[in-house]
Amino acid sequence: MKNRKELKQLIQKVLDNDEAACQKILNLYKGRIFSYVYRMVRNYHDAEDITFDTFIKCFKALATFDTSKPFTTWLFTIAHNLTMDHFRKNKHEYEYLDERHASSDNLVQKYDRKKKMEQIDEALLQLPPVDRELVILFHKEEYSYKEISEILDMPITTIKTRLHRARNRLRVLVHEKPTKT
Amino acid sequence: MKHKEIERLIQKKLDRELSIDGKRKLDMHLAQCPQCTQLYQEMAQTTRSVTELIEFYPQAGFNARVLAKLGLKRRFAWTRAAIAFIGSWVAALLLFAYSPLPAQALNRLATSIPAFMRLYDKIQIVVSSLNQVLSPLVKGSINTLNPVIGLVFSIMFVYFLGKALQKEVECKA
Repeated sequence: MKNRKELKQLIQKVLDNDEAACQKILNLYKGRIFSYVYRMVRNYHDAEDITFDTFIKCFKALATFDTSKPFTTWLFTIAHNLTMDHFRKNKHEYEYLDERHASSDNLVQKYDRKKKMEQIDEALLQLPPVDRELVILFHKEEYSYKEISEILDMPITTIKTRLHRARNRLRVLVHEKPTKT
Repeated sequence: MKHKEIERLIQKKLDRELSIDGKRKLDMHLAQCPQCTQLYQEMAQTTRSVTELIEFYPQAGFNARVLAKLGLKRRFAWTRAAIAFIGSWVAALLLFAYSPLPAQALNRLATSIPAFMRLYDKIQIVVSSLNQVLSPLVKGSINTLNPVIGLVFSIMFVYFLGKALQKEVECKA
């Protein structure tokens, strides 16, 4: 979206039940939201369902959206909350999910046959969901700490600490070979 | 400078929060420490890889599903088309039954445009043939004006149908 005024006009059109405006919002943001959700839940159908619910919720609550605030932050907040609901329903411990599935051996074995992007995606998967989410929001979506704090409803200091730890872990997963036992 | 301090500066740089002074310190240290340079390069490459991650998309038809759920979708207005159909039919019948104007207009058209006259003659041939076939079955004979009414009606119907087929948005949201 070029500027806030343009976005305001688009939102007004959506509120006036303009189908084309809804399509435009969907086309602008569905890729970003779906990618974020998919990288969190790692299941295509679940990701599509959550993305679907995100946009339904977004359009229905659009009248309450404060247009002086960033739209994408609000959209990502909805997506985040629905992703958390998904984790809760499926009894995943989002905050403290351990890394028992992490397997550096497998990662290194895959290094030679997988492309770099696939490798980083694999490495992200080894991170606990909350850390993965922070890495994606900060580095992929390029949100500031303040914006991430709004989306996740988490203190900035906590975000910083976790992100630093996550980056270190990610670097180890991607670059360092495990010590053989 | 201790490596731990450099690691903190690296993190600050990746946080997009490194001051000019901090950047100077980091650059100076990296220029003389291969160990920290490797760490920095690996960290930078890792975060750059995250930035360059590909975007995934939901399946085709996702937009349509969302719009349908919201009650925002393209619909064929069957009700409107039916009303237009019946309305134009009744209007045409009433017009031909009670007003001399359509008949006069048709006569003028027939005399001024030879092509229309030829078309009218051909229609009459078809009507006569139908008359021959249907005459044992129906009382009286078929009025030749009926096909003309049908033609006018068809034009009107196509016009209103075209209007009805235009994109229509109904929102229940």
